[in-house]
Amino acid sequence: MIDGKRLVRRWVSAAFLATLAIVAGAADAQVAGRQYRIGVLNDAWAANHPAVEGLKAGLRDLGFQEGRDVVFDVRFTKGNPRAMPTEAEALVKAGVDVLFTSNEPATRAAKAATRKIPVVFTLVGDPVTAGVVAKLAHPGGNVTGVSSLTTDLMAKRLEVLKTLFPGVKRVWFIHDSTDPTGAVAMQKGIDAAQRLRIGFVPIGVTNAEGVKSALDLVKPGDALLAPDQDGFDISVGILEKSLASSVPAVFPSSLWIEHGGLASYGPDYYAQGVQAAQLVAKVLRGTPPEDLPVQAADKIDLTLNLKTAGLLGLAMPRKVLLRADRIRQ
Amino acid sequence: MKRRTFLAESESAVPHRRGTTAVTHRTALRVRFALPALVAAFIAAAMASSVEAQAPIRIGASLSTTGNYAALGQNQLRGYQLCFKHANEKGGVLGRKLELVFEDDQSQEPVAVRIYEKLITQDKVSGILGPYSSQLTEVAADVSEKYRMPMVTPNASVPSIFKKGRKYVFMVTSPAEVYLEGLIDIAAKRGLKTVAVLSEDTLFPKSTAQGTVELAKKRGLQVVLAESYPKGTTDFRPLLRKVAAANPDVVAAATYFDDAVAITRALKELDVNPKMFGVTVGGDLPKFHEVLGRDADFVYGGSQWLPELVTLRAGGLIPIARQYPGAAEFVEAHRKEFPGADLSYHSAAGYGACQIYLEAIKRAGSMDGAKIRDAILKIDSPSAYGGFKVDEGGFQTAHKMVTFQWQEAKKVIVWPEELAADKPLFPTPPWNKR
Repeated sequence: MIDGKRLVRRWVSAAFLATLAIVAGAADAQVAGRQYRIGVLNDAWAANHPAVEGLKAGLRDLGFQEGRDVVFDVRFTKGNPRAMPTEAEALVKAGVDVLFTSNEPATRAAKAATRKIPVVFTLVGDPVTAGVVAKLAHPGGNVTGVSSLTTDLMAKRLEVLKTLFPGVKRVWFIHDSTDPTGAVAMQKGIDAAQRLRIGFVPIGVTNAEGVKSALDLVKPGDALLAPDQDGFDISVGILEKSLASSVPAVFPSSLWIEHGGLASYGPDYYAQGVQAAQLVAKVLRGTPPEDLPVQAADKIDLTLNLKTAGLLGLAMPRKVLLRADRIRQ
Repeated sequence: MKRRTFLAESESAVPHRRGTTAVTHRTALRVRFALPALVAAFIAAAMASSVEAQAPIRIGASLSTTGNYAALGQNQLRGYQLCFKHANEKGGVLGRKLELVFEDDQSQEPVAVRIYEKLITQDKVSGILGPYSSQLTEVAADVSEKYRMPMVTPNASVPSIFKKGRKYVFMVTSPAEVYLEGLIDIAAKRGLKTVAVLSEDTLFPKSTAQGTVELAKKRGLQVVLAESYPKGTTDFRPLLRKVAAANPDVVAAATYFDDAVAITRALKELDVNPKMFGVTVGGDLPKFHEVLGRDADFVYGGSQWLPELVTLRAGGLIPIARQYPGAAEFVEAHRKEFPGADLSYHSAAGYGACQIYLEAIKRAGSMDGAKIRDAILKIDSPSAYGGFKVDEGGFQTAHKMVTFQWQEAKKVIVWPEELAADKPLFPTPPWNKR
């Protein structure tokens, strides 16, 4: 059923040599005598976004001690993608050595704010479609990072949903209409839904009110697919709707499952941060971002919440349980 | 013992109001027209029945509004009062409004026992809620057991109360043993090796100290000193000289408010400089920082609940308010109804315990003690105070603690990590470098 790992292998082979070089260099990544400033930009509501925590842990493992070798200037926009350009410009003005971004609006804003300061991104579902790099193997410019494979995983997430909820007739895909990756993901969702004989209802929204209106249309018997980009608190709305109205929902990352989501299929936010730390370390040691191929998230997890399945009245098929990487009781 | 009543929809919510009388719907029936005797009798009987159905359900509680527990007892009382208010605004339970009847136990066990006996046998209340503190709950639980009247207890965290085979007392808080779990976890993760555990020599602090010693040992920390002191101790210098001699990385103190303040002052006076210092009850009160000023900074505390949880997001992304249903409404109402009054976890515990009790009454469909008990045992859902599920003995198994640290006069949640928007300021700098 689920074979996203094959996707990952394809990606990994494209970037294999470059990744090896980074890992080999990791042991002596820390350059003595210089304290680097890392500018962080995302749309979280607090400084502890899991990708940032992963970055810090990854850098620590590579010998960069916070406070001694690196300091972090963390900017978060509380779910407001429109605040990104201002914050990105402020970080550039502050003279950071590298910008670490999570999600597409943050990455596009960082790219627009500087052509000189390296940008390392995470949580970007399709970096080429999003316009943040020209090519994955040769990103060019000052931007590289870790792709979360959103568009490639759409079909697999629908398969997970259909397996957990065989009677599903209609799946709602609510996404930020200004997000170019969302449009590609939507088309891939439409194609996959046709193959699986499921109704697929994409709705593009431009603000929080739009999210609420869209969710009001969702009825018992429907299901929800959360987007990778979480502008306007779309995923939070989907989680609340799922639990309040007993509507099964599949999310892009396991964090949501820890807080009541039914299932997720995709790379962990924290793990993407850890992975991106290797790129940040390489950049700090002097490698130009244009020479660092974009990496695919190196681990795709299927995570299930059995308690939520029980609340939704869903029986968890044995074959899904056997394939799950993490199960929350 | 002054008796007070509180019927929220008809009175201002002031805890100290005395002699207020609950407004019932026992309005005198006035028949203005002459009617045949038979018809009049029929109407009178029907109205009497209707009036009876509308009489409020009276719930009794002993609460400390004077004495040692006065400050926190009144916090708990405000939680009860808001819960009754909100329930009455939604129509009450079993089709009837609710009336809270409470009396001041002066923070004394014998008085609390007398109050519950009186509430049940003379005032004929239909149900009861718990008093403040483990100490008073321990004795009040014998009364609830005697009359088979379920008692949900907001702020009793000593597990032994719920391990004596009692069937009618139910715990809402996390147990005393885990109050300092966050402190120990943070210490272990940062490689600290030694801990000194201090505690007042009474029921709750001793349980906390015992639990902290066990947690420390499990995490590989060496307990270099474990000592208790008599209630009412004001001079902690002799004890802290022993602490200084043991030179622990962590000082964990199971306290109430006065000793938490006094120990912090003595640490400074003797220039004792552990890398982490944590207290329990009292450390979470705004007054702790008001009294100590900057000396309160860097001090850790365990808390059952904080108002910040209403707006907090796990990992900076996912709101956790769903785990505290009704908490936002409670916090907003508290600020409106009791402007300037302390809002602590003790207040939220009162509100949450009352929510649980009323939910059980609804599920039981009556005020029958056995039926309410069965309903409580089946509840597995959170209140405004957090997770709730109890075992057969009424021991709490679902509620979770948080750990905060005072940072520049603010309580910052630093544990568990998924809820921690900020890192602990670690290590605590020596007194001469603050």
